[in-house]
Amino acid sequence: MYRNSGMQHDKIMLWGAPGSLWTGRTRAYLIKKGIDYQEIFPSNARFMEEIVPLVGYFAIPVTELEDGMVIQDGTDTMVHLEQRFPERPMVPSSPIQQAVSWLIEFFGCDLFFIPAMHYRWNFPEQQDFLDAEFARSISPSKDPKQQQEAVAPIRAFFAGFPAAMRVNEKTIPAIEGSHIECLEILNQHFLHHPYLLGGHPSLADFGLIGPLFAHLGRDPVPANLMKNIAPHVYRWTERMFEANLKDGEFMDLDYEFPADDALPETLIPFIEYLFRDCGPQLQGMLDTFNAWVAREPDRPAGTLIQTDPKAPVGAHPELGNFDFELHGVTIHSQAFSNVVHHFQRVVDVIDALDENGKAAFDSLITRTGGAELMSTKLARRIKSEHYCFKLA
Amino acid sequence: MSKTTGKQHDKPILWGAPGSGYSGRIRSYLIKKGIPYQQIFLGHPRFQQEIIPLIGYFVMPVMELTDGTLIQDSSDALIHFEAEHPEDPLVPTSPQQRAMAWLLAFFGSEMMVKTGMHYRWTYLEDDRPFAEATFGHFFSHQRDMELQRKDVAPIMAYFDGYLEHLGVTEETIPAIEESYFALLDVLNAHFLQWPYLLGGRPSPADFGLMVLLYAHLSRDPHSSHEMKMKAPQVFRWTGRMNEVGIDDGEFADLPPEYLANDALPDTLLPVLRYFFEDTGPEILGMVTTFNAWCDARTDLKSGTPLRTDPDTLSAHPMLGQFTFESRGVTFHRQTFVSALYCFQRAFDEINTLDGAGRDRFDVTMKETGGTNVVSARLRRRIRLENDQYTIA
Repeated sequence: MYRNSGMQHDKIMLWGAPGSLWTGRTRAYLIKKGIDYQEIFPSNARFMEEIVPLVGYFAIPVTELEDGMVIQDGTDTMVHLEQRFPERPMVPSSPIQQAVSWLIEFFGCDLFFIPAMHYRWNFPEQQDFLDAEFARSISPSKDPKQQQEAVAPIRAFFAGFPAAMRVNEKTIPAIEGSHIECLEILNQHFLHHPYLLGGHPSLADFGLIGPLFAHLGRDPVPANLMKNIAPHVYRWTERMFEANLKDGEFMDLDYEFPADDALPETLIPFIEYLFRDCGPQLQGMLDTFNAWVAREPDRPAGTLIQTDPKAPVGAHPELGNFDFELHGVTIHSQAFSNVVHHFQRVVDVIDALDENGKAAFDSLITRTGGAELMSTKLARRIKSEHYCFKLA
Repeated sequence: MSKTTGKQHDKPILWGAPGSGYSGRIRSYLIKKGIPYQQIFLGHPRFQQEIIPLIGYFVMPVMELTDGTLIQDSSDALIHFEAEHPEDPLVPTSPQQRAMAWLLAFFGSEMMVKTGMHYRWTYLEDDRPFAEATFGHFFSHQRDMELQRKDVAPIMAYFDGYLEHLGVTEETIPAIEESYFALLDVLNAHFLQWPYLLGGRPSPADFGLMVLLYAHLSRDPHSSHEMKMKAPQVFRWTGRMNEVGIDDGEFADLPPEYLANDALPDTLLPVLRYFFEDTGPEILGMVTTFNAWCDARTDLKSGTPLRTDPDTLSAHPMLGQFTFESRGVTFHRQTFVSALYCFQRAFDEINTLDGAGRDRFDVTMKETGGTNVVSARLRRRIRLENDQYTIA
C-alpha cells in the first residue's frame, strides 16, 4: 500500500531533519539497527517535487527505500525493516517485553505532544534558534533574509498550537509539573539501565526518543531543563544516536533484553506515569473516535477517518475536540486518527499474545493503572492505505 | 617504544567520555572515518587499574588499539588510524589545505582551552547536577547519585584551580567572552554555507575545533544555550561531526570533497583572521617563553624533560608564566608544553610547503594577518615519547 518514487538508491534515504520530532525515531532506529542510510533534508528540491506528491501531503520523516518505495509512517518503517533484517531484533520476542515495548513506543510517539509543543513554542527567547532550524530543514536558500521569509509562515502556523490546546497560565504549571515528574522517573531508570527495557534498545526507546530528543532534549530551554533535572535522560538521548551497541557507561551489562521476560524495576513507575498522566488524553481520543463512528455507523469501508471529509489529507487527520484532566486542570485536545490507528496496532500485539502472556500483561496493566484504558474497544477497525487512515 | 596492555580486543577502545574535550576529537574522527570502536567511560575499574599506571598520569582520552597498544595523544591517534586506513583520507593532500588543516587543529584544540575551561567552570554552579553527572562518567563507577557525587568532589575541586593557569580571572572574563562571541559569529557565517571547515569534507581542522566546541561549549548547559542562540549553524556542525557519513542532509548536492585547486572557502578567511588577531599574541608569548627556557639552559641535552617540576608527570606540563594582551586586557598564563607540541605539528606542515602551495599559503597569511605568527620558530624540537615531553 505504498507508492514508489521510481528511483534507485545505494542506501535508504531518510527524508528528515534534526529538529523534527518523528525523524528522531527513525534515525535512532536505523543507527541502532546498523542499517546504512543517508539523511536528506526536505529543503532538497526532490522532496516537494517528487516525494510530497506521492505521499499526498507534507510530512517528515519519509523513508525512501533503495528501490524507491516510499514509507511515511515511522512505525511502518520499523516494522518493514524488522522483517527485512531479522538479525539484531528491536522487538523482544518474550510476551511482556514485546507488549511493553509496543506500548511505550506508542505512548512516546503520540502522547507527549503537549509538553513537546509547549516547550518548543512558548519560549520566545529560543525563537532565533528555531528559525535557523526550520530554515535548515525547508529552505534551499543560504541567504539569511530569504531564510527568514521561508520560515515565517511555518512559525505562524505552529505558534498557534499551544493556544489551541489551551496551554496558558492556568495549565502551564500542570504541564511543566508533569514533564518534570516524567524526567525524574526516567532519570532514576537511566541511572541503572542504558535503555528502557534494560541492556538492549527496543521499539520503546525509538518511540520515546521522538519527543525527548528533537523538542525536549535539543531546543535550548527544555534541553537545559533536562540536563539539570535528569542528566541521565540527557545521556540516553545521546546514546540513542551512537552506533556503539554496548554503552561505555554500562560495559558490564550484557547487550540483551533481561532474562525470563522480566522488566527493570525502575520501568514500572514510568509505566504508571504513562497511564496516569498521558492515559486521560488517549482515552479522550479513543472516545472521540468511537463517538465519530456512532454518529454515522454505516459509513462504508474506505471512508477517510476525519471530521471534515473534504479537508486535505495529512499525517494527523482531526476527529474533533475534547477536554481531559491533567494534575487537576483541564486541557483541550484534538483527537487524531493516526493516534487511534496506532493504538489499534498495540492492541493487536496484545491480542496475539498466548494465554499466559496475556494474563501476565493484564496483571501488569492492572498493577500500573492502565486496565480500564487498555480495555477500550474501538467501534470500527482502521486501515492505513496509501498514507491515509480509512475505515476497514 | 609504545606501551601495551597485552590485551587483545575486537575493536579499538576509546577510553573517554561524553564530557571530555579531547575525546570529542578522536570520537568524531572515528565516526567520520567509519572505524568501528568501543567507547568505555573512564569510571571503569580497568582504566584506573591498568591504563593510568601504564601512561603514568591521569589523562583522557586514551586509545587502546586491538593489540593493546596505547596512544595517549588524540592527534597521534588520528595520524595512526589515517596511516592504517589510507582509503578515503580525512587529511587533505593538497599543500595549502593540508597546512591549514593542521594550523586550525592547533588553534581549535590549544588556543580555545581558556574559553572552554572558563565556560565549564565559571558557570558550574548554575548547572551543578549536569556537571556532576559529566564528571561521574570520568571518575565514578557508582550507580547511585549520592555516591557519584562523593567520587567526583575532589576532582571537581582540583580542576577549579586550573583556571588561573590559563589566565581566566574576573578581570579577563569579559574579554574572553567577547572574543568567543566574535569567533561564533565568523564560524556561524561559515557553517551556513559549508558543512565542514575546508568545504565538503571533514579534516583535522574540524576534529581539532571539536575539542572545545563540542564537550564544553555545545554540551554543558550554560554554554550550549549560548551557542544555540548565537550560532545555531555552529551547534548543528557539532551535531553533524558526530553523525556517521560525510554527506550531510542539508548539503545533499555538495560533493564530499575538499575544494578543487587547493582553494579555501571564502568564509574561512575571517575565521583565520580571528585566530591570528585574538590568539596571535598568546601564541607568540608561549613560543617566546619556551625559547627563553631553552636559552637559559646551556648544553640542553636531547631527552631533557620539558617541565618545571621534574618529579610530577602530567598531560599538561608547564614551563612558566607569561603576559600578553588581548582585547585591551592583560592576561597572565602558563606555557603548556602540550600546546607547543601541537604548534610544532602545524609548523612542520607549514615548513614543508614550497612552490605554488607555499605561495598560496603566504598570500592567505598576508590576507588574514598571520604572517607574523607563522614566522615564529621553536628554538628546539619537542618530542612526545613514552607519554612524556622532552627535548628532541
